[in-house]
Amino acid sequence: MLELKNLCKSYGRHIALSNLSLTIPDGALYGLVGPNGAGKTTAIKLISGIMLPDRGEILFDNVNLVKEERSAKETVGYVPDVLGIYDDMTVFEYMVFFASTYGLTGYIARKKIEILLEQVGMTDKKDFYLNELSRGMQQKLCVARALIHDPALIIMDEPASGLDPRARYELKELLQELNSGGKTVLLSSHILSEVSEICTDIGIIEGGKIIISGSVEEILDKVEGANPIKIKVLNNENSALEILKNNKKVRILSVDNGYFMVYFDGRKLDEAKLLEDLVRNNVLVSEFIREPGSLESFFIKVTNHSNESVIFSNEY
Amino acid sequence: MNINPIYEREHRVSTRSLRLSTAILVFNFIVAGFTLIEMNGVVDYARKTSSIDYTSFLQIFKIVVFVPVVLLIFVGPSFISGAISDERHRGTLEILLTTKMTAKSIVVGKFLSLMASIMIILVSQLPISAILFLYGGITVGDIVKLTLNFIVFVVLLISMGIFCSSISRKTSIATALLYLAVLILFVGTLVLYFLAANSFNMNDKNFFSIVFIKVSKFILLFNPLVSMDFLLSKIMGEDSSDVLVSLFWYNNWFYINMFLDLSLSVIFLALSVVKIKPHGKTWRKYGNSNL
Repeated sequence: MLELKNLCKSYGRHIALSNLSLTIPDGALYGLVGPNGAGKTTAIKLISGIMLPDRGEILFDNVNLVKEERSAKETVGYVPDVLGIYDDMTVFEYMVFFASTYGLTGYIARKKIEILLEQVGMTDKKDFYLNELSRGMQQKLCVARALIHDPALIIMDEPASGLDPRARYELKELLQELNSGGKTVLLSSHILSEVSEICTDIGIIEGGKIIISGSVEEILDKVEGANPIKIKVLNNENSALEILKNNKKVRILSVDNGYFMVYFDGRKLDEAKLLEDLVRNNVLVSEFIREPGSLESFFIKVTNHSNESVIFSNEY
Repeated sequence: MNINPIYEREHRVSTRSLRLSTAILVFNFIVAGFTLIEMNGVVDYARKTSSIDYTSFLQIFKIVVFVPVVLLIFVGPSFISGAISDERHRGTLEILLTTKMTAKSIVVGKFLSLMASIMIILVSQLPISAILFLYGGITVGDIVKLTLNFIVFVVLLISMGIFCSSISRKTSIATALLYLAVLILFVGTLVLYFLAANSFNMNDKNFFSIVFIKVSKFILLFNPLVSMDFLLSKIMGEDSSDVLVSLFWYNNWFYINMFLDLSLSVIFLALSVVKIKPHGKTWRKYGNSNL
């Protein structure tokens, strides 16, 4: 399990991370999402050991990666957004070089490289110079390079940027394959839909702080909960209003174009009970719809980048 | 034996690139050209006068020693200054720092690979220097001392280059910084000395002039070219001890210079290690603008 505890990092007067705390479970495919300048890359560089935090701890399976540099290097495989390519080397030479930076040489290194190149589907490209590869291929090679020492944690900064749809799909497949092999993967992106497709867990970062973190299902539940239930009744409107007002799960209620707009905190079962209450009280309900949740709109709301200043504003 | 991965990579890449072979060709062409022109002059003189002036061969020796130095001063910085900044620009420095390589091993690898490349160039011109042995006048001891002096000069140049590269975000800035540093060390120290000597000659009782000349002499001790000139002067029988310093300093100049320059090189390399080591604000400033 990766735990970030009260991480602080500033560049001069600019505070990049402010008491950032986060827990990523073992085997998670975690997406760190946030707008540009939110602190994603800083967080990733701190976890990778490229920078040191001003304050705070980074623990992986209870080992402090800030203090245990050697453990950090063994634990982490890092793929930066600038891929880090030597144009003057072939794919195989590139892998041999990085294998040697981990002390892997000779037959063991060659065997390992062959396995990794096969895993990323690049066996036939091993004699290609790196500048002859597409961005997608380079990205896959970098993932293979990051796996050369069999790290438990793979960190990728904006892995999908600059990739065409096919390359994105292949990357997604590769990451999910790694994840199913037991690796914990942490990736950053500013595109929420991309992360929600790939990841099992999501954290939204803004202003150097984690605003929300959890599994994709939990986040989606919150997104759904943030949208109102639209109810259209054909009779007994006053009775319906009373039922809705008396329901403890109803947070906000408004009327719009003949629809009751109900901001409801409950889950699916609670929604069903509400509908049952209405029907039992002889209210004819013609429509009972939860507005579909959009991660993008939720992301914009929580990161305060829309005109709506508060997610759940009191409308009456 | 584990070979430094950076050294191995750089060596592999440089040996198959055109850059090194072109450098060897141009270097040897220029050194051989100067030597042949000078030798032609000696032979021409012998034809006309029916006598051979052996000191002329020593002049050729001076050329053979100084031409590579001058060439290195002019061409070397462009070879050296990208050592760290190119890695940073490519994004590979960050990756290397996440591997088991330490900042120290990265700097050492870069140093060794540059040293090897430059030494290959210099060794390739040894046959030209060897011509001079045919005519005598130069002992093995002289050659050893000059070679050591030359190696120290190369070590210092590379160390300064790696340091400039480690503090610069762009290779162009690193190159400019290195040229400036070279200018200060090789020319600036001499200019300072001549200014001090001039001031001292005008008024040798003035306290400021005395301090100035002493300080400038000490600074001059860092200049490997002065040390090289002293060695050559000794070989050629030109006693310049009275020109610059007392006999003690003159006799030990070579050793003191070697000690000071090697110490300076170690300091530059250590500072480079500190500079690229993962830490706080400096990395952001020079390394990456992304948050």
